[in-house]
Amino acid sequence: MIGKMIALDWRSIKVYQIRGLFLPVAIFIFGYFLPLLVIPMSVFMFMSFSINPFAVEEKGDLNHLYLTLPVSRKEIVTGRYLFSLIAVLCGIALGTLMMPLANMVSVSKWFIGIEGYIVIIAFSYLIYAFFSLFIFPILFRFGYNKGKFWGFYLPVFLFAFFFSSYITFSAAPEYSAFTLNLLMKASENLFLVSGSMIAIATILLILSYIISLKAYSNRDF
Amino acid sequence: MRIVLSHQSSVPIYEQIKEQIKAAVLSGQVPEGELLPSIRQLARDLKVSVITTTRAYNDLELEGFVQTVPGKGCYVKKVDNDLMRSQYLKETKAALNTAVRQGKLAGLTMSDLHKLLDEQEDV
Amino acid sequence: MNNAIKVTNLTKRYKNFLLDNASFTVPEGYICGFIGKNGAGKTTIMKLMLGMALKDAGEIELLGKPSDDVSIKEDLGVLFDQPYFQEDWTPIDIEKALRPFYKKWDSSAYHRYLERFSLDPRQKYKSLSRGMKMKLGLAVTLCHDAKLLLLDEPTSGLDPVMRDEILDILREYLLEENKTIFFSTHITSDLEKTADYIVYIDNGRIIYSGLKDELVEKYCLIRGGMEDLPETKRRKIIGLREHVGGFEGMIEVAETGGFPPGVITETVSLEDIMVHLNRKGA
Repeated sequence: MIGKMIALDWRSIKVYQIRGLFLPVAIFIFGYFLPLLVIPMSVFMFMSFSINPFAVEEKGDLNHLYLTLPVSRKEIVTGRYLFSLIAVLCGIALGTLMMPLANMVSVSKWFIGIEGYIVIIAFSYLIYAFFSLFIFPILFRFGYNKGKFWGFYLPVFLFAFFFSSYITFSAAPEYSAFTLNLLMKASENLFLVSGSMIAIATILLILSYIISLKAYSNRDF
Repeated sequence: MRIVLSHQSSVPIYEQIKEQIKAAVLSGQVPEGELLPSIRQLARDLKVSVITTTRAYNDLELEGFVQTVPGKGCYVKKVDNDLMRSQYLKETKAALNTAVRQGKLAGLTMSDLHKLLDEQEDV
Repeated sequence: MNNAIKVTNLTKRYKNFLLDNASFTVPEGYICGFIGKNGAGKTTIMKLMLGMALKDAGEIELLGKPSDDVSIKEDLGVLFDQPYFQEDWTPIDIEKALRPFYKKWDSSAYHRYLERFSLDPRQKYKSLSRGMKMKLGLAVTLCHDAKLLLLDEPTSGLDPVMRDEILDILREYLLEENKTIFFSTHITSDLEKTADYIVYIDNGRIIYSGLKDELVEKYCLIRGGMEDLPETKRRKIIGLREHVGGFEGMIEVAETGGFPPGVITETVSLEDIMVHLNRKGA
């Protein structure tokens, strides 16, 4: 069963589990400045956290262990995806809880209602799916050491780049209402906008999964 | 039972085991009906391969000293006179073989050897 | 007799190495030594058996099933030159992590081994000495009733005392009838007395696969003075080495006739065979 693989991944990152506790703190601090992006940021951080099993596996050459266990390569891949998905769901939950809190103490305040939340959550899910299209297949194919530049650091860098551009952009006075308007528009067409984001995200994830399966099953250790 | 191996000897290990078990049986040290250690246990104790002890036990069975009961192990058979006689015969032949070879190296002829053999009668 | 391992025409191409049509069998219930010098292909074959590397051609059967059947691994115990565990795991963590994967995990057996090997259940893996790591690895392989142990150089880097301890634990494992050990090593002295079968690999090719006794009884060492070496016999000597005192080499026992007296022959060890066969190829 896949559960054992997820448990194994969780146990393998034993030392890094502690770092997980800092995530809420980091997210909250972030939310103090930009509560609107708490959920996407939370999702992103939890996703990064769920990459740890790759790093740990590479460092300890643990494929020597995993491939001697009665578990198929497919189950290993599936386990990692589910581990990551669970982490992201935690990220969404945490972000959703934190956003009102952050909103209360923040320097900038946003009032967006349930529809706004749904849009932002769907959007975060889409970001996650988009990144996973690159990160997982590359890490499964090349391992953490070789794959971390293209599979992790580069996507993170791009994310940070677009993200800061967006912040700079929306900080400018003429565009201050841009985000708000965008949200309003999206909320009006809630099912269409959120629904299609979720659908696309799911398709991307499935695609990512299939590519990873192929990449990992052809890998020589 | 005493089984002491020499790894330096040119005699193969399985034969050393076989001969020593035989000696123990013939001398009565190991009584009839006694269960010998299992092939695997003996291999472990003597630190030799399982094939070696298997070979020794197989030969012992062929020569009539033990009886293998499937699922139980190897039991010592009653030593009958024929068995003892054939064993002694074998040992005597081996000793004579050595003596003759030595003699030939020393330059003795077969009649010299016969004379020596007659001298042994008083032993 | 059943075969615990059956390899047929196994081929694997790497950039600088070719495993060329390897075939051999390992009968069930015995200890089979897998010998060859470093780089001969032992680890490659181990990895192919476990599905860690992917074969280019050939078949592998373990315990009667094709090696890509994941369920075989329930009955398989694997140990590399060191066990691979997360470095911060304690023996207790290891049990928690691995136990769900094995139907026949025996927790009390595991703890009995820990006690017997004097392993602290709460000590982190990275702080263990090399010998302790190997013992821990053995404890893990032995406590889920594995039918076949695949060991890749398990005694390399260990002192003789530790090696002897580990070999004794392995002999104990074999007390049960249907257990098999496949033991790859370049330290042949560990196998000289205990191995039942030998598979000998050199440069990606299987040189011998069969009873150890047959292999060792086929050859003998031969030494003599320079004048004791007839020209006709010269090419029969494997790994011939001529020096100031005479000559030395290995020869098939069947070929030892025709030498003058005074030439010394001696039983050959696995190590001698490896050394002399490699001299020949040089």
